[in-house]
Amino acid sequence: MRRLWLLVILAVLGLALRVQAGQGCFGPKCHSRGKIIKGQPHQPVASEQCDKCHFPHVSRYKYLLKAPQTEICFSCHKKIKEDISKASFVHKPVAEKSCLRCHSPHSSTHKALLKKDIKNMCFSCHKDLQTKFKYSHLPFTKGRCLSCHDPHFSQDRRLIKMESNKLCFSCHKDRNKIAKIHGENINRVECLSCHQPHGSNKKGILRPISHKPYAEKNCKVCHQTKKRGVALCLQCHNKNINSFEHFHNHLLGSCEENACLVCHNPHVGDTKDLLKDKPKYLCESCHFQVKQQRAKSLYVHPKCDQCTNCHLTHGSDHPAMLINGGNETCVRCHKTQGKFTHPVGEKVIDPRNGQPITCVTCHEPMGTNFKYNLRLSGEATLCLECHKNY
Amino acid sequence: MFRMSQKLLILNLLVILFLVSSAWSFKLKFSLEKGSDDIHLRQPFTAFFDQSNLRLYIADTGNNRLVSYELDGTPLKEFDAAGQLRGPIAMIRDDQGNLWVVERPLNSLTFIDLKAHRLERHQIIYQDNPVLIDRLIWWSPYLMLLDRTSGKVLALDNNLNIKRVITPEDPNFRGFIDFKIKGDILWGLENITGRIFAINLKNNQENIIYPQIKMVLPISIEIDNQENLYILDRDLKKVFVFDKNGHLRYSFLKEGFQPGQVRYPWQLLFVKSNLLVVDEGNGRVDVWGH
Repeated sequence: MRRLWLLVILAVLGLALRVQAGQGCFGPKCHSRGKIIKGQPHQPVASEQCDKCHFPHVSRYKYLLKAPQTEICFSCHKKIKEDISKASFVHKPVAEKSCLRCHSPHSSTHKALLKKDIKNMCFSCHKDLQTKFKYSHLPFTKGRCLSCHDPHFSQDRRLIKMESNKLCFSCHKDRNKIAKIHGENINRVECLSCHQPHGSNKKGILRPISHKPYAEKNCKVCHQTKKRGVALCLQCHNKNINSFEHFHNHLLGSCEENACLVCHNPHVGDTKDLLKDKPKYLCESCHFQVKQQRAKSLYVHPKCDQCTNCHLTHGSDHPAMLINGGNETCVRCHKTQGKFTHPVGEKVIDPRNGQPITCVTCHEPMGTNFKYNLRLSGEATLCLECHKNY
Repeated sequence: MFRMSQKLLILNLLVILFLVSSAWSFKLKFSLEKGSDDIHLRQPFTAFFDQSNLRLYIADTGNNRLVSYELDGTPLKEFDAAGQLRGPIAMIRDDQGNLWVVERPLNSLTFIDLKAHRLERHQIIYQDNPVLIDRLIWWSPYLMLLDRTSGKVLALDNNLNIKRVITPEDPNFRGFIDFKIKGDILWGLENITGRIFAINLKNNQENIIYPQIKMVLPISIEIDNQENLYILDRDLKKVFVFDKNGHLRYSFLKEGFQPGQVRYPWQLLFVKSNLLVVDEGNGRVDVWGH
């Protein structure tokens, strides 16, 4: 009789351990192995260690997970977690802790447990990317996005795997051939400043809009002149100097040999003003705190990332290089606020500093934690700054 | 072991006390807000202190005028050259008592002989490039000006000929955004990076100081008698104080509208032991002292 009891206890213990180790999860009446494992299994699934991620009975997390999903992933993939913390730019799903947006947790027929093949995976979000070009870059045509991009993080905002020229030269190894076209400057210029890495309708996958002398192959206009620095550009764009003659300006002498080249590409670009990058990214490359402010604010102006809607780029007489004063800039869109609002304008003086009250006295469009982008709570705190006895 | 950690604790406390006391050592003494005509300053950009008559001058840019004050903050006079001044962003008074004013909308270095009631506007050209004149300092017998086009400091003689160009030898130099001269040393604040170049104007020796924190928009520099370096960050709305090796000692100021707070500060200037913070956004100059 004693022996029988001992056997029963051992059998129960054995079953419990089996369940704990995950071996009891798969079965015809529970979780079908065939349904869960399709293709290459995730290592804990292959070794039937379901308990690495799941509790067998109860959990406060969905799918009986032992912890929030990302925490579970990073409990094994520690290196990625560490690298992400050091990276300047993180892919949005990673930043949003959504590993499962791209990866399947149990198994996949695709590399790296991806839910789809790489091309379809990337294009499931990046739907706006132009795909048809007269001239295409081979890795792009073949859907090998990860030849150039890192899917998790990068030190470059384009999430490229390494410094851009290094990346290009890792395939385009024939430096002599490149030097024949570009001269000896190949190490001084960034390939991506002129070449569109996915494709282009211009030969040499060049960016679409060309500087007139470059389009006309009239290189000597710029390259065979004694003019140097800003004067080189001003020999054609002579009226532009006036746009800098304002209280505030963006003339950053010595940042480049020619200050214009801080923001403009002298050969080709994606925009008619031949900016080096989209305005948002170009501005953020110096004004990085704006991006941080936007990220940590609950309320941000909806067009906050279209900097040139409100700010001038060469020069302005207004603080923050606004297009116009703190009222005039806003009422271009907020037309009714220009007519019916808290009194603003030259005759309405802020008691705190004696300056005229404008929209930006109370609102901070770059982002705050208060509704309507108010600088302080609109319930009372903000008003009491001026209306002390109210 | 216990004694060791006790010593460390005491040391830490002393360091914290030192930092805290330093941070509190500056107090707002008063603000320059209006001229003697009771008109409020509008977008003031820079201040100038004249050692010879112990007066402060403010470039009241938005009101197209200059305003002078006693050292205690009493407003004295307003000057707009009979309505001729346009957006003065900087000024100095030379050895002869003449004014040199930067009128930004005209990009003019304007000479004003007060006695002769004469005003002359000059445009400066350097290496075929129009000089966008910014900060001004009188370093007898030279008029030193910051050229935003080249990012360099130019030394001009009485005839406005460029006699010397001051630029660091560092090939990665990204241009100055402000400079001060103390004795024979020019202290230049570099655009964006906030690196500080100390250039001896006599022997051209150069020293680079790397502030040990990343700033956003360093805009103005000052140096005290102990060679502590004060850097004003326009975006962070703070003054960071570094020792001569670039170690952060403390910081002060914060964003706001009240006196002692700043919105769009542009310049730092030591006058005696007081530190002036010129704030374009709040239209005033806060005077901080011990």
